[in-house]
Amino acid sequence: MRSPAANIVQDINDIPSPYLNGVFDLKKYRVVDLLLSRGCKWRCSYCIIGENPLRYFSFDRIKAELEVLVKKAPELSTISLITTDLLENEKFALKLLPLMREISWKRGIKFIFDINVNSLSARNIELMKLLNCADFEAEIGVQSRNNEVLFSCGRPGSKGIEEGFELLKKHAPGLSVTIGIIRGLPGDDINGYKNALSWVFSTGYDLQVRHLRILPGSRLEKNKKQYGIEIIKKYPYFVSSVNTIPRKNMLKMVRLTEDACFSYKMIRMSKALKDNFLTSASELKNNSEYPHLEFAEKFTIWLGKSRKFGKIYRDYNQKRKSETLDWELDYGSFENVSLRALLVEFVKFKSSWKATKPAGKR
Amino acid sequence: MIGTGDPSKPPLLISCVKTYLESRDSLKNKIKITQVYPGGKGVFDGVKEEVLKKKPDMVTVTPHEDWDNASMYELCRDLKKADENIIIVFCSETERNRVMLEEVENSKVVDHLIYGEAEVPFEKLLNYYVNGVDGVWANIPNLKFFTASKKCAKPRS
Repeated sequence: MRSPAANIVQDINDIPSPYLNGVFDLKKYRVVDLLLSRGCKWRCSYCIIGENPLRYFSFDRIKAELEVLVKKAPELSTISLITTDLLENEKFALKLLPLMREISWKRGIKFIFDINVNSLSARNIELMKLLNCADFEAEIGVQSRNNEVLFSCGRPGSKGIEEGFELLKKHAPGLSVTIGIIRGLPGDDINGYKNALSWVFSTGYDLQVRHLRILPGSRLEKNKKQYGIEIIKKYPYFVSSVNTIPRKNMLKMVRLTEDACFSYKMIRMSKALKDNFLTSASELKNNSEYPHLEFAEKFTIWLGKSRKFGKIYRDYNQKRKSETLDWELDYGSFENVSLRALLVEFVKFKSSWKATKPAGKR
Repeated sequence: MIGTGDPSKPPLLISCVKTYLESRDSLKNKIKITQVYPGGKGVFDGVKEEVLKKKPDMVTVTPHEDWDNASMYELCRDLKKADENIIIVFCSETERNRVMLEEVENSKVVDHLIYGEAEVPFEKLLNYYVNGVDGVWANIPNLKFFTASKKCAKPRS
C-alpha cells in the first residue's frame, strides 16, 4: 500500500492549516488534536503509519496554531499532539516543550502525546527534564518484553528500555505515563504476555493493552500465512489466534488482562496503596515469576468475593462482555469506590495471602 | 465531508484534505467543500437529511476506530437510495481503522476508497471529475475504484 513518493504531499507545510484558516469554530471545543508530523521512521509490522516517510510541520506553523488555539478556544483544556514520537526530533522537541510548558502554566492546558520507547533509551536527560510537568501525559508503546517478538515486528528490541524508564521516573516524576503493550503478537505466548503485564505493573505506571488488529497493507497482513494469523472477519479485525497463541490461550490472555487490571486500576487510585502494592509485590520476586501480575490477579479475586466490591466487580464483568478487546484506562467505572474501604480490603488480603502462600518458587 | 471521529474534537485530518484541495490551482473556485458533523460518537442521526439538503455531488466519510464501519455503510446506503448519483468516497482513515477491501466491495455503496494520506489521490480524483483529466490511476496504489459490488480500474464516467 506504500504510495510512490509522488502521491503524498512531500512538504506537508503545503497543506494549509485548518486552524489558521478558520475552518473550525473553536469556541465550543475543550479538546483538540494538533498535527506535528506525518509518517514514521519505523516500519513496525503491525502498523501502517510508517508506510510514508516521517515529515514535520514547521515549528513556526505549530507555534502559530498554538497561539490561535489559546486565543480562540476559551474552553480548551486538552491538546492531543499527533506525532509518533515527540522526542524523535531532538531540536524540534527542545523548542516545542518549553512552549508547551508555558501554555500549561499560563492556561492549565493538558498535553497528551506519544513517545517512542527507543527515544527513552537514548537517555537525553535535558529532554526528560522538560517532560517533567504535571499537565503532560505521555503514551509510550513498549508492545512486548520479548526480544524475538520485537525483532520480528521490526522494532529494536528491549535493550535499554528499563533504564530509560528509570531515568524518566527520576527526571520527570511529574509526567503521567501510560505504557502500551500489544496482545497477540506472532511469536509471543501466554508467558511472554504475563511477563509484559507484570513488568508494566511493577513500574506503577498506567497500562493500555491493544489487542492485535491486522491492518490492510501492513507487513503482518502480507505475512498472515507465515505467522498462522487468524482474524475475526469483521470490524475491527482483531486477531483470534497466531502460530504461538492458539485461540484458547488468546481468550485466557483477554480474561487475565481484565481480571488483573480490575485491581491494578483500583490500586492506582491511591498513591499510598500503589506504593504498598509495589513493595508487597516485589517481596514475592523469589516466589513468583510474575509477582506483580499474580498479586493483582489474586487481589481481584479477593475483591470479587468481598461484600463491598463484589457488585463493582460483577458490573465490570458485565460491561466487558460488550466492549472491545482493547483494555484502556477508561475501562470500568470506579467513581463510587471508597478508598478507605479499599485500603481495608488490601490489608486484609495481604495478611490472608501471606498466611496461606507456600514458600519457594511456584 | 462528514467529519467522523471523536465528536468532542474538530475533525482535523479530513479538514486538512479540505484545505489542501481548496488551495490547488486546478480546483480553485471550481469546488465547494462543506463539512457535516454528526452529533455523537458513532451516531449518524439526522446526518443523511443534512447532507441531502446540501445537494452534494460527492460525499466523503472517514473510517475511524471509534466508529462502527457498519453504521457508515448504512448511512452511505441511505444516501445512495436517496440519490444514486452521489459519489461516495472513503478516505483519511485513522491508522487503527483501515477498512478491508472486501468489506468495501461488499458494501456496494462506496465508489472510491483512498488508503493512507488522502490529499494527492483526492486531488487527482477531483481533477478527473472536475477537469476531465484522465488516465493517472496506474501509479496510485492507494486509490481504489468500485462500481456497484466490483472493484474496477478507473472511476465511473
